[in-house]
Amino acid sequence: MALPRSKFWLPAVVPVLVALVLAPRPARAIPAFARKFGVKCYTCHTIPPALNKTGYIFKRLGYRLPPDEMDGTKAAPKVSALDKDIKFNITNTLAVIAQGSFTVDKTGGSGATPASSSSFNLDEAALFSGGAVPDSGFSYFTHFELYQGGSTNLEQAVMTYTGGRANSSYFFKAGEMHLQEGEGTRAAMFYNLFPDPSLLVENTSPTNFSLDQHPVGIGVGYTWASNYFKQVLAVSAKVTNGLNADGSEILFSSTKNSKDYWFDADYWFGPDGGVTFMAYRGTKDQVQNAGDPDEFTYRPIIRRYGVFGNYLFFDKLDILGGYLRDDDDWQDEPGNPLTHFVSNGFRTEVDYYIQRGFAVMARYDRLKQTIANGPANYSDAWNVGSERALTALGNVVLRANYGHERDQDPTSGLVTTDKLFKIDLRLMW
Amino acid sequence: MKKLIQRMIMLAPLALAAQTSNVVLPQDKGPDKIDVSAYPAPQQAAYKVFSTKCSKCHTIARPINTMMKRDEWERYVKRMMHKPNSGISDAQGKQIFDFLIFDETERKDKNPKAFFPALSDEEIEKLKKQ
Repeated sequence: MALPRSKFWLPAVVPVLVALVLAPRPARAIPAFARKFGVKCYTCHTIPPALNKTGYIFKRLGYRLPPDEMDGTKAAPKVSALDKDIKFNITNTLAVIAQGSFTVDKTGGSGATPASSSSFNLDEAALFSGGAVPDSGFSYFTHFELYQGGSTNLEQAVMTYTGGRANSSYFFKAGEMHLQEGEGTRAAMFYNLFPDPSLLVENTSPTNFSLDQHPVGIGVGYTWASNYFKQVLAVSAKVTNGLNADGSEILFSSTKNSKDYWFDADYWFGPDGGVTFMAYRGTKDQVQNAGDPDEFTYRPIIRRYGVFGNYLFFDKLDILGGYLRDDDDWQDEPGNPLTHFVSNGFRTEVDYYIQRGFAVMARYDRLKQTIANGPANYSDAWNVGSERALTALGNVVLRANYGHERDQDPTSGLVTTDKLFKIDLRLMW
Repeated sequence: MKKLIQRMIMLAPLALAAQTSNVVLPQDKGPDKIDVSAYPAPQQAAYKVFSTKCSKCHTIARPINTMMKRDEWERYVKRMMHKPNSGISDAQGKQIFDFLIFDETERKDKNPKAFFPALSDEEIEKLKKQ
């Protein structure tokens, strides 16, 4: 019996759902940091790559584990003294991540020709190297994409110096790094449990700006922690090169000498919950009416303000929410006065951890966008999914996700829809 | 199809490598279960809490195959409780501690050669340097 066209993905879904529930968990595999410290991925992640509070502190301390006897009766250990006796081993500094997937995609709407496709994909193969430099406050982190969308590129290469003590530390860093770090809460992280980031942080504005970028620059930060790290308060700031007109990062010298600024404040409270405030201000050249006789370039100021938060109830139920405001200078025609592109975005997500390494999740994002006080345009996306670690250590993860996204272009008002079913397998070692 | 096969071939060694084990402590190689059927009901309940909570970050075989004195267990349980994401409440920490002391007396002290003594802080540091 032939399946109706709308159900042609069903044969692929059933075995995956069965596998998610019944998959055995016999194997052991240890990515670099877990190898180094002899721990499981869950020490720093709810399910990789979603960071938990320990993972956050580990990163803030320059890839050093937080001490577990910091009760306030004596001075907290110096950052440079943490893990200082662990011998350097190359296998404990290198990690490889690969992800393959099967997708079924259906697009449509007034702004797109209806189409459907299915494919097997190699999403990513990446090489990571990171860790603390022994007997010093220095640490390093590099992320090199061996293959992503058919290309290779260096995503991150950062050298950091972390000083102070475990409960009151500071850092300086330089290199190519993620712009939006927002790690005070899983709600602000780019990668939580779903395969793709929230529409809120991933969205590209009409000025070709997205928070999903890796500029070159310098950063500073300060981290304070109460006894046993029950509460953590942290602030960070960075100055980076801006963007090219097409939205790509300026990685080398450029005639565009302006610098962009990013600020973030994180507060972790409770067993695993936190809030983040972030702000960004930058400029870029924007080409308008490209290819038309009235093509011109102007330099808008780009602003982002966001508040995000999450709380993990009973070590099981994670509630996440966030708000992001975009405010970019906007000019339609040469000589016209500057107006604004404004976007108010909201996100909410509920994740339920059925057991360690096994979660179901649901997410909804909505953007309200206006240009020059014109009519509002709405974009929204909802996703449901499940993921399960297939190894006891948590470094092989199977995930299934169905999402529906509806985007309304704020300049043309045209609508595109995208229904995407995705199964992926992520290997980390 | 050719590309698909190439990609599958690329992924195959990754899957094999992911099966690789890299065990650090000798305790990790020992049994990872305790037969608690003869233990009192409260200790059987505590064993469930112990095996769930104490396997989050390390192998459950590690504490199962380690011998420690009462004050050492007390210190270790407190240390683990105070890990930022331990998820171990005060009541659960007490339950785990009581279980470990009961199990130490009932199982380990009666057959000490089958278990590993806890490493001192100095020995752990020495191990890290190897």
